[in-house]
Amino acid sequence: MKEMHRIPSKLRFCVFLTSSKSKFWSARCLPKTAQKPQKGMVIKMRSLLFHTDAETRRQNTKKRANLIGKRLGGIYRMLMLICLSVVTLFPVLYMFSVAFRPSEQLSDPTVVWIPKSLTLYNFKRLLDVFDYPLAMLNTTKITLVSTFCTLVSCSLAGYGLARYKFKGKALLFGLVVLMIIVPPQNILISSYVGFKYFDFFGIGQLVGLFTGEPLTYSLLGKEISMYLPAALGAGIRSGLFILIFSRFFSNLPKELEDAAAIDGCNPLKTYVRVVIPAAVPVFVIVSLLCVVWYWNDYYFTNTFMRSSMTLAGQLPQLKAKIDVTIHNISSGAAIDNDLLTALTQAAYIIVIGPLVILYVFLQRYFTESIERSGIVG
Amino acid sequence: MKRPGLTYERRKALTGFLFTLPFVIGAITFFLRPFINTLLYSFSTLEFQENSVKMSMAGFQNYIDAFVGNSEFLPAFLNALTDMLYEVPFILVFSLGIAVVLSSDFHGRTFFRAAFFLPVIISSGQVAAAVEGSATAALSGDQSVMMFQALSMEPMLISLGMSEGLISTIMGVVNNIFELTWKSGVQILVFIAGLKGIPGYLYEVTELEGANKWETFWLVTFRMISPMIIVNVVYTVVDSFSDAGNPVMKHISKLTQNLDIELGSAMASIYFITVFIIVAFVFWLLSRKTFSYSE
Repeated sequence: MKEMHRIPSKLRFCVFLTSSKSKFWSARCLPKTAQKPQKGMVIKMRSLLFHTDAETRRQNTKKRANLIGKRLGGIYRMLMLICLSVVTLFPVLYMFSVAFRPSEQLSDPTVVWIPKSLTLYNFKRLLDVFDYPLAMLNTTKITLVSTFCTLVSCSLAGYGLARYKFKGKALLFGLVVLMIIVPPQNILISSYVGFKYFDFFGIGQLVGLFTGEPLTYSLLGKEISMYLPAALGAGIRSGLFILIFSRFFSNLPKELEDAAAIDGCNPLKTYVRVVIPAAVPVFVIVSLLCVVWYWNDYYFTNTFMRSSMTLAGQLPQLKAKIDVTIHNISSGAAIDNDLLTALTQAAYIIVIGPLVILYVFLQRYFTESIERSGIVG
Repeated sequence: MKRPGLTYERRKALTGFLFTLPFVIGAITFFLRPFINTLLYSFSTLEFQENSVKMSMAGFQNYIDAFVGNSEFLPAFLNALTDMLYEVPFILVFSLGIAVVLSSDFHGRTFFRAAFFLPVIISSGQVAAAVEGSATAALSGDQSVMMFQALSMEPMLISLGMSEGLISTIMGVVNNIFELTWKSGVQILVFIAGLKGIPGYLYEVTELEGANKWETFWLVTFRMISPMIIVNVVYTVVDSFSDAGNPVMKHISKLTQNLDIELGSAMASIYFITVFIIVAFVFWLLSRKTFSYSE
């Protein structure tokens, strides 16, 4: 290794050329980190190029300068990363800093980041307006069931689009892209109408032809209004998931599936036994994103299930609730803005807390999966 | 499984179709129908009756109303467009830089990755909107000016003799920096996935040819990552438009709550068509210049 460095860079290339003739010395394993070249060869090369002392010294200073430059670059990168991660972490730090301090300290100019005393008072008051156990249970249930449904439907659709040729496939791809591009809020009104007069995929209309009145059923206010779209590949950001799945599946080697088919598996069995085990990373990513997006969703839950209690769904009404319950706004009491801020931050902590804990545990696996899945293949 | 009368190809096609069937049903019921209905609403007047809705054609009246009759829509719409103009490049450059740094090897990489992915976990809902709000509020001096003295920057810039307009632009970016960094989570993720897909031998070739880091970045990294740039531009545009905190979105949902559905639909359609045109344009512009193995 040492000797390798002493060779001037031009010559290093010659070493590469001569040595690359042997099969083991492919371009892949040569520069810098390369194994030691055979000693005889190096000596021969050196004798070819009258390697003087002055030259060695120059090489050494250059090497040292390179090393210093590398160190400085590392320090610079570290500083930049620290600054930027402070920016990303700032809201979270702020959240923790505010939620655990007595609200009076918010307007105390001597307290900036680190509170003088810690308290759980904010959380206790918060539980007066927030039915946490129930909301937690509801959210967990909706999130898990919807995620499972999404995984099944989107992976099936992605697999079908990636592996089979059939008429209208291009049209379906267009539909997927359209689903990604159209913001769901834009079509919310007519989705709402559709949920209110749900006609069982048109069957209700057919019945209506005979009985005179179309058979409809209101899905509003029921949890099925979240599950049904998810199970049919039209839930929150399903289009994106289908695209991710199909990209991944089309990069999988086909041989395994062919082998399974020859061994007598039907397509569905092949899918369950062979394809799913090979696609674990992409399933991890999609399920994590899906859990996150369902957990944080308040738009759909609040529109389609007004009465139901979810964690994120309660946040928009939080201020009003605090005003009524804690500040007794009807009795004309003054609103304590500091307390409101502290309670709001505490509420954010208990809403995203479970997600953050989940993330901390799965973080390593998550980032690894992203690398292995080749989301964008 | 054997179906008499079906050739092998047709059976395969049928299987493929069966795999996608749930999605087809779902997409038609829960996406395509509301989508077409929204377009129809925007061209009509609605009358609410006890158990149904009566539609009658109104031509382009709602569209004219949206632009002419409504004083809030047009400014909000233009505002959203100009916001997007500086947001998208900033988010792209920022996330590409972070992704390049994060995908190299150094001490503490795990921690920094966790820090930069954290917004992905949180930034998709009410909390994110509120978090961004509170951070921006804290920065612009609502309650805790002491946390970050961004305010002292303005006098400094003035004393440097900068013009008023330039200062307000700089302060705008500075005060929005939380929002922008928080919006880059998914983009960083996509870029890292893309960077990992670049074959290592390309870098070795450039090293042997004597290219420096800067040249390597433009010749290899940038070229190879270009398909992901398209993905990210599209994602960022769509994301910034469908953000619930967006003024246009707020306006539309306010109209909807007042049961002014036709006007809301017209605005939504205008909005959606604009997004579609922008995305198509970006796609057309970038896809000619990007790298792809197959073509």
